[in-house]
Amino acid sequence: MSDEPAFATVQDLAKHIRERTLSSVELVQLYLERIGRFDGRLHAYVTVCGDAALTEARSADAAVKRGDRLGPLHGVPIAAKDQFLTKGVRTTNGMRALADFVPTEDATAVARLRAAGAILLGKLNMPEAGLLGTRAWPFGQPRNPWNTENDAGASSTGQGIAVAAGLCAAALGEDTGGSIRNPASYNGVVGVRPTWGRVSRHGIIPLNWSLDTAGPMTRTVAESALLMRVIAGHDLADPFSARLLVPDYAAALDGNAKGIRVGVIRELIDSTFLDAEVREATNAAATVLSRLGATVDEVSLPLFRIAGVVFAAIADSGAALEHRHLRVTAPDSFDSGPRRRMLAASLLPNALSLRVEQARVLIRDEIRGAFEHFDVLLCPTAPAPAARLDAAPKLSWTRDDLFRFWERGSHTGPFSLAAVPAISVPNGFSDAGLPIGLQLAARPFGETMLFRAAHAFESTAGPKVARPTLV
Amino acid sequence: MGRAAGAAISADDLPEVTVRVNAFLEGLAALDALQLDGIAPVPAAPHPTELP
Repeated sequence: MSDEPAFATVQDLAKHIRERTLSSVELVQLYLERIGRFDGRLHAYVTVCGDAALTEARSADAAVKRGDRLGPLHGVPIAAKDQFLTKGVRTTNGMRALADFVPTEDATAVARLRAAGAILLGKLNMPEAGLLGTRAWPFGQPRNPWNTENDAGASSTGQGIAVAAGLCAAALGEDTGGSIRNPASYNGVVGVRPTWGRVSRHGIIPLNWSLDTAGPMTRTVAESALLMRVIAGHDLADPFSARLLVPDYAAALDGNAKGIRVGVIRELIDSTFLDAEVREATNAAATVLSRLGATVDEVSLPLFRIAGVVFAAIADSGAALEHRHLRVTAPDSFDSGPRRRMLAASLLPNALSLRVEQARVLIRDEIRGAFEHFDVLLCPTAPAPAARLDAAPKLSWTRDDLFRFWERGSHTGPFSLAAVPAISVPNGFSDAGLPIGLQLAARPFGETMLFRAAHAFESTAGPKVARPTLV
Repeated sequence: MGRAAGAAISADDLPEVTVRVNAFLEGLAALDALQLDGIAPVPAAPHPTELP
């Protein structure tokens, strides 16, 4: 069997399985073979559900033969971040302390994927507890498939790698402050952070209750639109999930941007931290959307300049709270990076933390106010393509390391603070052959607009299915 | 402060934790320039019935 189906769209794979031109078993075997061939170097997976996935695939093929009613993802192998509870499959959250934890239930998003017919192929690698700055990855150092000497982004790290490298059909990620969008950008795939409340958080091991979201990572926008429809919707187990009907996002993908008002965020384009190639690619993307019929203008959002540190103070404090018991009873079970990050955040005075939350409200109001004039906000997903792994600070972080880290977070974190949806789509490559990501954001529950704009851009400018050369 | 927060800070961790806390205090000093008085410090969660 050729490797070609490994990169087919979820829709095409489901169609082939339904029409019996490809079996689910053949597809699972193909991905397992590719994981065996490439993942020893890439480290996308923490756990591969080989036997269980093949058993589920046999059942899926039998259902096709019987003529059963089939879900939209019937027989399609999908992998999930190891932050999602999975019944009978160990769930580590990237933590040594959870290396043997086997949940007894699925997270709601996982359960909905299964109900739509998806097969769980495995669990994907992430930094410890989802905290960037992990120095010794408990389950192997992930590598970027476009250049294995480079970073693959975080914290939905394994998702970005596995989708780009054709090690699964699609993946389920989690985004607190950019954890889906950043690896999507670094690996040249599509990643969606939904509106907070659009997808149930039940069964996600929390990093921060008011920021965590579940979303898809795929090779095309249309695939993400399909997966979003499957996982979104109210859930009694998550009291903050929205009681709103879930639209058919894919129905809005008409390939044009006519009438869409696009605001290019000046502070991120003018930033001295922005790589010149990324600036050029982002400006070119705005021009493409304009040619497709969008009205493109510049918008100034000055609070983006402080949003990185505000986000870090809130997210790190949340993580420190979530993992307090383990931090106190077994501090050495944590890698020094996440442990020190949580320790520092736990020492911030309450009066300061409350002022940080006040600043968050201002940032939210500034971003949401922009949607009175624009349908979509546009900026680079990350200020530069993926850095080399050996450029990352290995020992103690310095003040300058932290300020650079927060500056990077000011591209994705503000939209998390504002609880609005955002997407990263591939926007070409640097001269060194590394992917560049374009980020679009929309008003709360404006995912339909987001998908429409991203799809129009993708269909004209983005690579259809870009593939890294793997060895 | 560590004890009050239930945080045991080892001698190995102390230098970097100190750098991190000081960086937070320096970075968050930018909040002094904002008009924050009177703002209720609630997380920016959308109301579940908020429509597109």
